[in-house]
Amino acid sequence: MSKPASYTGTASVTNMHLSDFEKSFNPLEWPTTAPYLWTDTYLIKPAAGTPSGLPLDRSAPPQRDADLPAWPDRLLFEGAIFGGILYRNVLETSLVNSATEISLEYEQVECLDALAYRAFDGGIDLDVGQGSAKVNGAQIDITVSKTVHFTQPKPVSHDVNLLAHVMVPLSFDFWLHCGLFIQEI
Amino acid sequence: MSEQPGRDVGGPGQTGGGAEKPPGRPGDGTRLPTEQAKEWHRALLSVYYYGRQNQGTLGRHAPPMGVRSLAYAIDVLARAPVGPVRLALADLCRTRAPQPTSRTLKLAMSTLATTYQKHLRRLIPDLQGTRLDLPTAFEDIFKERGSLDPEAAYARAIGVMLQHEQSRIPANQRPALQTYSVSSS
Repeated sequence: MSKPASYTGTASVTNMHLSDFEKSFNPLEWPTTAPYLWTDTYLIKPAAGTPSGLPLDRSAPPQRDADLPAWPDRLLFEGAIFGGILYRNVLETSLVNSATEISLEYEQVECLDALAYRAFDGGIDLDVGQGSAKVNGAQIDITVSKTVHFTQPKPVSHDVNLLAHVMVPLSFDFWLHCGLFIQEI
Repeated sequence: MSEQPGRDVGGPGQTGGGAEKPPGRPGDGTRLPTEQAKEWHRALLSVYYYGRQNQGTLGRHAPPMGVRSLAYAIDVLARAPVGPVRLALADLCRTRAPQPTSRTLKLAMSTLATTYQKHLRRLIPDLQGTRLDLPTAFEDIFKERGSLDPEAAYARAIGVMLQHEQSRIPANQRPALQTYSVSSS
C-alpha cells in the first residue's frame, strides 16, 4: 500500500490584514475562487435517522445547511477534483474566525464516492489537516498541513497517490495566493 | 447507486466553451467539473509535477496518469484565468532555481509571464497605458550567476507579482512574502 502524502507549509507575510486570509481558510469560498480544484463545498444539514448524519443512500447528495462565517464541529461536503477524478468527500470541520487568528481544522468522516469513468464507492481513507493565519506582531504567520491517502479508483490508486505529492503542495500555494492576490471571479 | 442529475460522468453538457456552466445543480453535491476546469487542473498539476518529477517519492516512479508535457500545459494555461497562471508561473520560478539556464523553463516562463501581463492590464485599470515588461521582470530573478534556493526564487516571483499588482502602494507598505517553506512531514 502506498504511504499517505503528508506535507507542511509555512509562510509569513507583512503589510497585510488577517481578514485578507478569510477566503483562504473558509472552505465555502473555494469553489468560487478555484473551480479547477473544487466543484462544490457546503455545510451539511445532518440527516435524521442515521448516526453519521449522512443519507443512507451515499450516492444521494447530503442536504445543504445555511452558510456561516465560522463554526465548530460541522460536517462539510466537498466535491474535490484530484487528477481529473471528482471525490465527493465529507469532512468534520471547525473554522475559527477571531480578531487574531483564522484557522480551519478538518478530518475526514467519509468519502462518499469517486467519480471517474464510473462511480466508485469510497475513494479516500485518510484526509486530515489544518490551516491557519495568525497575527504575530507586524506580520501574519501562515501554517498549513495536510495528510491524504486514496483508495479508489483501485486500478489507478497508485497513480492518484503519487499525484498527491503534487496536489498537496499545490493546495498550500493556492491558500497562500488566495490571501495575497486579487481573485478573479 | 441511484441515478441522479449530474452523475453521468463525461456525458453531454461538458464540452468546452467560454461561458461553460458546471453541469449539475450548484450547492447540492451533484455538480461535476467542467471540461475547462479539468483542463486547467491537469495543466497546473503537470507544471507542479514537472518541478518535482525527480524528487522523493515521485522520482522513484513513472509519471502518473493525467500528467501532460510541460509544453502542452503551458499552452492550456496561456488561456486560463489569472489564478492558475500565477500559481504556475511562481512554481516554474521555483523549478528553475537550481537550473537557471534551462531553455525549456525560460520559454515556459516567458509565455506565462506574457499571459499574466495581459491579465494585469485587464484587471488593474491603473496599469493601462503604462509600460510593462513582465517577461523581463521574471527573467531578472535569474540574472545573477549561479543557482538560487528554490524557495527564495518562489518568494521573489511572488514579490514581482505583488510589486505590479499593488503598484499604487509605496514599496515599504506593500504586502510582502517574508518567509516561505513547504516540506514533506
